[in-house]
Amino acid sequence: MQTKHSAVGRDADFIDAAEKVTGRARYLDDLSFPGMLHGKILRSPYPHARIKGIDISRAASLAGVKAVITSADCPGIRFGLDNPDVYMLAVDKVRYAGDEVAAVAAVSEEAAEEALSLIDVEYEPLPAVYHPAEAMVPGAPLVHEDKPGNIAKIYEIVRGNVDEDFASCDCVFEEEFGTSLVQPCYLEPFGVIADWEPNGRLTIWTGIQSAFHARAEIAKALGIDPSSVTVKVPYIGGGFGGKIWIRNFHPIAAVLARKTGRPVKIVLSREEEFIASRARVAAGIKLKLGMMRDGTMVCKEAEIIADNGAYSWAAPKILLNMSMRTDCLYRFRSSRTVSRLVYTNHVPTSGFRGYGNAQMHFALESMVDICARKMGLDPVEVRLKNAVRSGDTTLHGWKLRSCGLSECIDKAAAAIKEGRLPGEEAGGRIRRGVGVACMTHVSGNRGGDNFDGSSAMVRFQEDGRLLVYSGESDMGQGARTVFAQIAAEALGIPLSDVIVMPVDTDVSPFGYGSYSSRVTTVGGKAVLLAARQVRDQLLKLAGKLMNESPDRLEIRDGVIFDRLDPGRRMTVAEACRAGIRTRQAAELTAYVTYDPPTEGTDSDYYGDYSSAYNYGAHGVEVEVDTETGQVRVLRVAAAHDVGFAINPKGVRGQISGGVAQGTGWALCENLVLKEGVLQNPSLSSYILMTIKDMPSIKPIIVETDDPVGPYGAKGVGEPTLIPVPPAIANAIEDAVGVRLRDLPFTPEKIFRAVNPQLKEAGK
Amino acid sequence: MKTGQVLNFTLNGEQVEVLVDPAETLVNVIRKKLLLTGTKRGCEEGECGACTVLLDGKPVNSCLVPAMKAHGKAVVTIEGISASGELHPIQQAFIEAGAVQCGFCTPGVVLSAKSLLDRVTLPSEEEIKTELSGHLCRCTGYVQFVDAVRLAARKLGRFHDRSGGDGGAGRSVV
Repeated sequence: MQTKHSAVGRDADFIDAAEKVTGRARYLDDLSFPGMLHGKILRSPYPHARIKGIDISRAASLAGVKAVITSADCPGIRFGLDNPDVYMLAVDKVRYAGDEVAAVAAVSEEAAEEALSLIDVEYEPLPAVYHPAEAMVPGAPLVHEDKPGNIAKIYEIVRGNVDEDFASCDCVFEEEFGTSLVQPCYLEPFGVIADWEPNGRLTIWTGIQSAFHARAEIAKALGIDPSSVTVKVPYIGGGFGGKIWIRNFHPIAAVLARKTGRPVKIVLSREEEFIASRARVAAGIKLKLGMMRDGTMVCKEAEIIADNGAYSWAAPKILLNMSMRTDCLYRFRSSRTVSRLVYTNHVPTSGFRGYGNAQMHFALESMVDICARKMGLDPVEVRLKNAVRSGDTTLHGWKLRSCGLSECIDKAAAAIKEGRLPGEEAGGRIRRGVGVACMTHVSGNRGGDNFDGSSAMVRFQEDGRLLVYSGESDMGQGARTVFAQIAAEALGIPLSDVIVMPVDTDVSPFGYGSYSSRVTTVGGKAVLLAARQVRDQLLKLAGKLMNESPDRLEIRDGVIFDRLDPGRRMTVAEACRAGIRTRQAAELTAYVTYDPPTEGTDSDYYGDYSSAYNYGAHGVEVEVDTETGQVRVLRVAAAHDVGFAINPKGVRGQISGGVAQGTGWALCENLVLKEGVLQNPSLSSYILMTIKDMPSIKPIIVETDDPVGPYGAKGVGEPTLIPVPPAIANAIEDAVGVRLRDLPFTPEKIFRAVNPQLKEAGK
Repeated sequence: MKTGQVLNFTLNGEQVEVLVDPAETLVNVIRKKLLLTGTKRGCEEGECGACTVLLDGKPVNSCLVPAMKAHGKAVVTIEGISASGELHPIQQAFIEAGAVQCGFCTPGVVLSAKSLLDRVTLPSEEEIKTELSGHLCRCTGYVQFVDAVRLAARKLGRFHDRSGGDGGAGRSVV
């Protein structure tokens, strides 16, 4: 495959890396404008309280303060996705410790900060709910008065006859699992600059993954037309799902800017990133698995109760993914899932790499090992026996046009068994073990029969360089580079002649944005089709200029030549110059909208809704110190079916990054809430993986040449995190014979599990 | 009016004089007053390393350093290590090793790597990890950092062999 392509399938340095490594790349906080003010938000210290009064007079009279706003200054519009349940500033009551109550714009961050301390809010604390199970009890305090039982969303999804199938199984197993609250913790704090143009339009600068969704949602929150809003996306310092959707601060900045007539910047502090950003939906999962003695997995039943937190953004969609996707990992005959998303007075939740799918993978991929071990079977063999394959239509109607699951399992399992360290050391104090887990995910996401496409525009400049415009953001994952490689390949021009433009909703073609691991597969395909179209235009022009039939012409290394007489040639630059500086100008511009050939789902969520489905498997080796409970992940072999690796260097980067985040989730990251108040809102107490904690990683790229994706490519962004926690859990059991069912696997939990006799010692 | 103090220091080889508030941090003076935005603010609590600059050659979290601590000293930011727009070999190595994803942590990491390579010609994996352990990166999983520093060491070695110079590192900071 390497030889037939010039730009794709080869390691490419990120085309924007030089700007980043020199500090010249501008992120939101690096921008400023004449007269710009700094905004800060006052947040509730209470998880649930009535606002009895707000006095802004002291704050408003502080020197340098230009505006202080409360809900009275904002449009009374509730916004959000499935459940529009949030006002930009709290009306009447606050629902979590961190809820937005008032906001200030001042000439400096310091003045704005000081003004916050001068806003007097009278609260009347209300009884609160901190656990989904308590929140569902009749008579429990309501987080939203119009949401009885605190229910944000319920799904019941049934395929086949699960009761009959369970009755026919040789073995039926039941287990319960719990996942924790974690934050995406991208390094660049999220922020915005809002400015109203003299013509009445609103310009928003924000490092967001989904600019067009942002435009629509900001307009909704402000009660204005989307076309009155421009969203411009500077460099994004990481997103991981946490920057897909707008936050309250986006419309708040717009209101402050309107009130002051000046640009207003709001950048979250790291503390706000912890207390008031949207965490991964934490869920309690009951799982029942029906199997035959030979290891065949027959049926699966799940009951999920998930903590939505105080406001519901993407959480209902996340719950849906959690409820369904793992059913498409194995050839189940039937399944039934009942899932409930429950409002609590906790930090709101939303998307984070894996988007719900990761939580259920932790449960199911732990479960597979538990069941296989109980039946005396090899968990890897059980996975291989049941793995879905290319050509399958899965239980939920996914059509697997490409599927390398079995190859991934084989390769990851083989790689982790190679070069193992001794099983024991230090007289048995140190114990080592290996585990495997696998995964499936999507490359695109058509909800119902909605559009799931992307558009791309490409324009040749008169010097022969190509501008590529897409509506999909690069949050650091390398989308710009992949788009450039695709365009360079399709056109036969050097990679350095492709410039990928920043996203600007006034200029860029429509795109949904960077989520559902869809950017390469869907956005890249749009770029490919647009590049092919502009190639036709260029060859037609060159044919005219060279007095030659366009179908005899080819482009290589930026030179157009006659295939049958290669001496007849002109450069792309010459053709472009001649085509643009002429009265009969050639367009040399293509705009293509591409929607993948999937039909979407019916009202029962059945159907083929992603351009491609991604598969992968990780093998991990861990070391457990039985005296301290400390776990170290030593090695990870991560195999991913990416269809075709457009930029293998980028794929390897996604793999190592996903392994780091997944390991952090499994071992150390955890938002600790005490009666609704976050106890560790800091990078000193919320522990991320550091360079010293990292295992050695063997990335294994599996290529299955997807028939739909550009050059056969599928997504890889989210998949790399998904199998990590269950693989670690499986390896821990292999090492020390205990099964951990609740994330994270802290030293204390492991110590207690390994030393059950000491359970009561502290009491 | 706030009372200010006069801060005199060398920034990327140039003498700078600026009026600062006694409570102001070095990162804010660099970013807001001297308008060099390559130094990033990731946490402002000294935990993430994104604001790392070299103070008399040593990496510091500039969000924790009161600006006046730089008085009479030499500060190098990411803008100061590549002379005349050429990439420093360490920067080139970070690009080639795939150690740059979102890029937000990158300037700080490059400066710590430079501090290490100024002291140690061929650092071991352990030395690299120790030097960079104060930097959080949420994108790469760090493994490329080790590759990048090793590659940079090789590039600098070649450079030294050829020129006997300081690796194109621009101005000496000590």
